[in-house]
This record gives sequence, structure tokens and C-alpha cells, in this order.
Amino acid sequence: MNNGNQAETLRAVRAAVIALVATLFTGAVSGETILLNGATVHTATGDTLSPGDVLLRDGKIAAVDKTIAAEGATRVELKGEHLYPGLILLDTALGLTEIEAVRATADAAEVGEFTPDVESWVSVNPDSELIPVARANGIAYFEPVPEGGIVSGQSALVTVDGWTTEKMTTKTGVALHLIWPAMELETAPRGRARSRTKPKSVEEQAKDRRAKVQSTIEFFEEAKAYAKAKDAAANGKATPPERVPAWEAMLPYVHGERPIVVHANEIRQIKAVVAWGTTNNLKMIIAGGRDAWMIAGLLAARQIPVIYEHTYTQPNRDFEPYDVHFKAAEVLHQAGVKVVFSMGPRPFDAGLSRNLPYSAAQAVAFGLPESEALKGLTLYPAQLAGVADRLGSIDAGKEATLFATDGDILDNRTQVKRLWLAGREISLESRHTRLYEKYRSRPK
Amino acid sequence: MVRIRDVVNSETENLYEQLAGGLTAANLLHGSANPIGGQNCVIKLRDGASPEELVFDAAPPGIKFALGENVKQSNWGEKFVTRFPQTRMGVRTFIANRFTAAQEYLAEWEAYRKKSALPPRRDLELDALGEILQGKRWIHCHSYRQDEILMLIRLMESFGVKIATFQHVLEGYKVADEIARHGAGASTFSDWWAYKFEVYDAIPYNGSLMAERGVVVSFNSDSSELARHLYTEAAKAVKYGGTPEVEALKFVTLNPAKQLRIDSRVGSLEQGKDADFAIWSKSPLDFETVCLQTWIDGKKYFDRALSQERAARREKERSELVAKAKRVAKVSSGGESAGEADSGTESFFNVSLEHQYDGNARGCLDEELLGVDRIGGAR
Repeated sequence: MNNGNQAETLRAVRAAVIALVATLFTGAVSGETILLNGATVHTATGDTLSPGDVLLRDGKIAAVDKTIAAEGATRVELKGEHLYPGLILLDTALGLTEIEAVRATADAAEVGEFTPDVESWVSVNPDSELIPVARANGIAYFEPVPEGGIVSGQSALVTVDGWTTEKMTTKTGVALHLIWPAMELETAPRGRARSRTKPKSVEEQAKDRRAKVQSTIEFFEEAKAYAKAKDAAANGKATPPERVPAWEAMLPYVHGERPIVVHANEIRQIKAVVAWGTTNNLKMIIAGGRDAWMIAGLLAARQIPVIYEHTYTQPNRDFEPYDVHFKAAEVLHQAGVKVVFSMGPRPFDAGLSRNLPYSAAQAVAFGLPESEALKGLTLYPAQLAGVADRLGSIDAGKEATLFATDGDILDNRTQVKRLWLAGREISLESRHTRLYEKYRSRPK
Repeated sequence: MVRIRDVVNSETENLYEQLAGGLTAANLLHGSANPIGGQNCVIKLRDGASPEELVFDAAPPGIKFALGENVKQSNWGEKFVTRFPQTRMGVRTFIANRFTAAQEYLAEWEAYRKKSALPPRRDLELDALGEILQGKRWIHCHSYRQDEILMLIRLMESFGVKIATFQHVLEGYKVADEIARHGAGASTFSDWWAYKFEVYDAIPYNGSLMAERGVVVSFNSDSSELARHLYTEAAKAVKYGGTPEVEALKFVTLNPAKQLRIDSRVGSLEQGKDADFAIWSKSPLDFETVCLQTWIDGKKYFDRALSQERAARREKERSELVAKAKRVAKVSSGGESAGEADSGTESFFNVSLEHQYDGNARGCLDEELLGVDRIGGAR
């Protein structure tokens, strides 16, 4: 064997190895037909099939039934396991933050009070180590949210695997984010004020608060006026206004075409938001929603959903029952409010995204029906993001994004075994599993 | 030298909230701003008792130490660059120097006792470090990275000191054998990570990995919220690394008791031990479980069946107090609106000191009490 032949053989072997590795890495390719056989199928919309079959074809769910005869399909035996639609995490800093204390890695909060033309999805780091950690517990999509100021910018729905931000971004302009000004006043004596800056009197604080709320309301009034001027110009009734990027960004939101997610926790904030949003015919979603249960009936009547982020928040007032936030989701649900669960947009919680199902779990322990909890992790967030036609449940025609577990996804002990994104199996490996394997094999 | 025992707040609603999550005892440690911190306090959650009566006197004294980013002021801002130590190298030197000083201090007292010298000047810090050298006070050390964990083990061994626990110890899994051989316990978070650079290698398998190599592992909370559901945290040891359920439960019962040297009294249901226990609707590791009752010293401190009634009672008391305050405010402001808050009303609405510094914004619900008009409604 001469050297040339040897080199050729090596090249062939290397090519074969690369092909093999590529297959292992990407798993099943989208074009393949796969039958997921015999798992308990939690569809999130209809009945749970126990057991059931799910047929995946061309990256979509082709069929869901008790049994499916699918000749030629690659069979994946999932007997004893559970299948869930991919979880959707709304209102998060995931992708925008890596290490909270390292400023160079922080891209979640921008300066400026009104920046509707800030777009979160352009800054998602596809190689963030936090993303594989989140997907290892079934999170398939997330909504990176810009923070900072009052109107902080717009969010998108992003998937947990992809080569670039463009490939990962499923839907841009999912919502505009409005961080409602704090309504609480510092009532402690000035000498003991929490704030390190010069403490203000209650009256001064109230004045500031009024000004902030007023500026928020006026910002939207101006955005509406701009939209009106554009419409008039379009009908040939006026000359078009000078193009302003911020006002352009506001158009679909003041027209009520896309939702405004208002971040509000305290009851006075939430009441103010409801009154203001209703008057202005805005499509509203409350995020945070700590005290939302107090006006559950009103929220239901106005059809305002709540992204509830406080299952695991201690009572805020001494006279509240210890389980006030454990029960809040059920209070809202009973009244007819759509409840979505989230960890919230704090950078600290981006790393804990994988714990999303446990917020819902605690609500179940305190009364929320389990089917509602699951919807609040899958179908409802898909609806709020405007993608329920293709995501959020295991139904024929939807994207084949689902995962298999060895138990109830709400239980802390449950292991996620496999995950498919649009029919493609994704590795559950992460920085955590790699370090685990490395140090588990450290010689004693 | 700071002593947590001096500042235990027996009035806090926190005690009840913790009891409602099945918690019966806690090791109170302050923050981690200094390599050598203050003295800890182990309490039983005897809600309603005085601060002194909360203290669990069977627990031997302890002290908080800390290593890494916090003590070297890494995340304190640009102004904080001159206090020694600013590096992990300096942290070792600092601690070593103080222990050397404590040895000399003990020698001076010994000499005084033998009547060969004048009495040394009393030094509270060196008193405490001296107690550590004598095996009377136990170190609980905040730590993250494997190098600093190993550093403290070797440094303390050089002084003949055994460390009680490493706290957080998020890279403990990298030096589990060394921790086990030294005999220290590890009190870790179940799954926190990535909030600082030194916790970028923190993994949720930490507890399981350390336990597999013979370390006595517990899960801690570092948070009055998380302390309410240590049972869900324990369940994560089953998920990550497959710790058997009974062992996982020990992470929040017997193992912390061992680490605090109180396992002859609490931590398991055994004849002769204190009657400290919780009753659950299901296995505490099950997501649907609810804590029904919590007992300490054979006395019931929490009962879920009575919690609604308790909340209603507190709500009633509050509304009565608010009504009274409104009357008082009206009188003290000469019958005018309560807007001009005088010192009397201002202090009445004062939030408790504990709440003032916990980072949560709190305010009364009734904005009109402060003479502030309703805001944000339709124009």
C-alpha cells in the first residue's frame, strides 16, 4: 500500500466518522417519519392518552392516537415514559445574560425610559451555556425580554437550538414590554430610608409617581397620534409625518394588533394598568402579577391573561396567609383568567429556567388542576405569543416539538430523557452534564 | 465580633412561614463580606418564644468564614480595591495570620495562668479564634471554588483544626475526596449557578457527587423563601445524580443535624430524640405534597387546618388598627385630611426594621391614607 492510497483511506474514514458524528449530533433528520410508541401522551389540549402513539413526519406531528400503524416509520419505544409538548418560557432574561455579576455578559437591560425600538432577539447568544441547561428539562422555546426604563422594547420567541440568532428566532415582535412605574411610597422615616440617594418625602414621591405615570400615558397618546397621522397620510388626507423609529415600532401595538406585556406586581399598578389599557383598547397581558388574584374577576371580565411569576414568592404583607402565592394561580383560574407560569426576567433566574415546571407544581399542590398547570407551561404561552397554531400541544399538524420523561414533569425527581425540536432529536448534554461526567470519573 | 445570637428576631412572620414548610431548626449565619465573620446561632423555630428561647442550646458554638469573590470585594464596585485581601492568595494569608495571632493570644493567657506574665488584653475576635483552635467552636465556611476549598482544608489542618461545614461549596464535587478525608460536611445549594463567575462551574449534581464519595451533604437555602421548601430541593438530589430517596431526605434532616453536631437530639425519628417532626399529605419529595403539621419539642407550632382562621384573625386585627389609625390621624391633623402626616402617623405606618432592609418594597394598600389621589385611571 503506497502513501497515496493510505492518505485516501484515511480521508474516507475521516469523512465517515464526521458523517457519523453529525448524525449523532443532530439525531433524526427532519424528513424522517418517526413513530413515538407507547408513552403516556400529555397532549395539553385533549385527553391524555395512556398509552398512545405519536407519528412525526417532516418535522410535524402527523398523527396522535391510541395506536397508529405506521409502516416504514422509525419506531421509538417509549413504554412507561411520558410525552409532553415542549415547554415555553415567557418573560425571561435567558439568552441575554450569562453571568449576572459579570457586567460584560449582561445584555438584558438597556438605559432610557422609552425605547420601543429595542429588539431583544438580536442579542441572544446562541452559545450561551444557560440554554442547553434549560432545554435539558424540556424547555423548547423562550421569550427573551428587554428590561430597563418604562417601555423597554420588544421581545421574540426563540428556540433552544440553532446555529445563529436568526435561525433560532421563531417569531419577532411577540410583544412590547411596559414596566409600569412603581406605585408604592416609602413610608419609613427619612433617616432610615432604604434608598441610598437623598430620601424624599411621601408627598414628593407621590408627585414623582404621578409624573411617571403621566409620561407613560402621554407616550402612548403620542404614539397613537403618530399612527393616526400615518393613517391619514395613507388615505391621502394629509402629508406623512416625519419618520420616527420609536413611533414606527409602536404602530402594531397601539393598533391593538400585538400584545403589550405590562410588568406589574402590586395591586395599585395592576388596577391602573387595567383601567388605562381598557380605555385605550390595548391588547394587554399582565406579567409578574403578584397581586393579580385580588382582582381576578375584573381580569377575567376584561380577558387579560396573567404571566404569573410569584408562586415561590413569600407573602408581601404580614397579614397575608402563608400560602397566598401558592394559591394565587388557582384563584385566577377559578375566576376564568388564563394563567401562564414564568420565572420572571431577573438575570438570576435565567440560570434557573429549568425550574419552570416547579412553579406550576406548587400551584397544583395548592389546588390548581394539573391540566391547567400543564397548559400554563405549553398551550397558553403559545397562545400569548401568537403561535398556538403550530406550537404548544401534541396535536396533528403542529410542530413536532416534544419531550419524553420518566415521570410527571411537575415532579422534581423526574428525568427528561429525550427531546425533539421540529422532529429533530436534540442532545440533552450541557455544561452541567459535561462537568458531572468529568468529575464523576475522577480517580479516587 | 458580631454575634447573630444578639440580633435574633423572634417577632418575624418568617418563623410561621418556615414552619408551614416543615422546617423545625435553622443555622443562622450572616453575610459573607469578610474572611473571618461573626458567630452563628442555631435556633429551633419555636414561634412565639423570646429570642433567647429560640436558641437551640444543644448546638455547639460556630462561626462564619467566607472565601472568594465576596471577601475580595470582586462585585462591590470600582471603589473597593484597597482592603486586604483582594485576591484568593491574600485570603489565605489573612486567615493564617489571624490564627497565628490567636495561637500567641492563647499562649499569653496560658502564661498568665501560670503566673509568669501580666494578663493579656481581652480580644473578642481572638477569643473566638482561640475557641476554634481548642475545638470548642466550629467553622462554617462560605466557599465556591475548588482551590479555595482545598486551601482552607490544608490551612486549618496546619493549625490542627477540623472544619464543620463548607457552605454553598458549589465546586465541592471537584474535591469531594479531600473534603471527605478532612471530615468536613458540605451544605450546598441544590441547583443555583451562573450568578457570579465563581459559580459558573456549579452543577446540580454537586450534592449527589459529594455524597457518593462519602461527604455528609446537606442542602441549604440562603434565602427565607427557599427555606420554606427544602423538601422540593431534596427531591432534586434524586433527579440529578440519582441519590436514593432516603439519602436525599437526609440532605434536609439528619445530615444538617450531623453537621451542626446536634444529631443526638434532632434530625431523625428515633426513641430518645426531641419530638421535632412534620406531617405531610404525601412523601415530602412528591410535588403534590403539602405540609399539614409541624411540631417542635412535642408541641404543635403549625397546623394547616388552622392556618385560614389565623389569617382571617390577622386580617381583622389589621383592619381594626387601620380604622383606629384613621381616627387618630384625623384628630391629630385637626380634622383635616390625613395628608399632612405628622410624626405620629408617620411612625405608625413605619414598616418593621426587618422588612426595611430585606429588599422588598412594602407599602400599605390604602393609598388614600396618605392623602395621595388615585392614579392611572382613565382620563
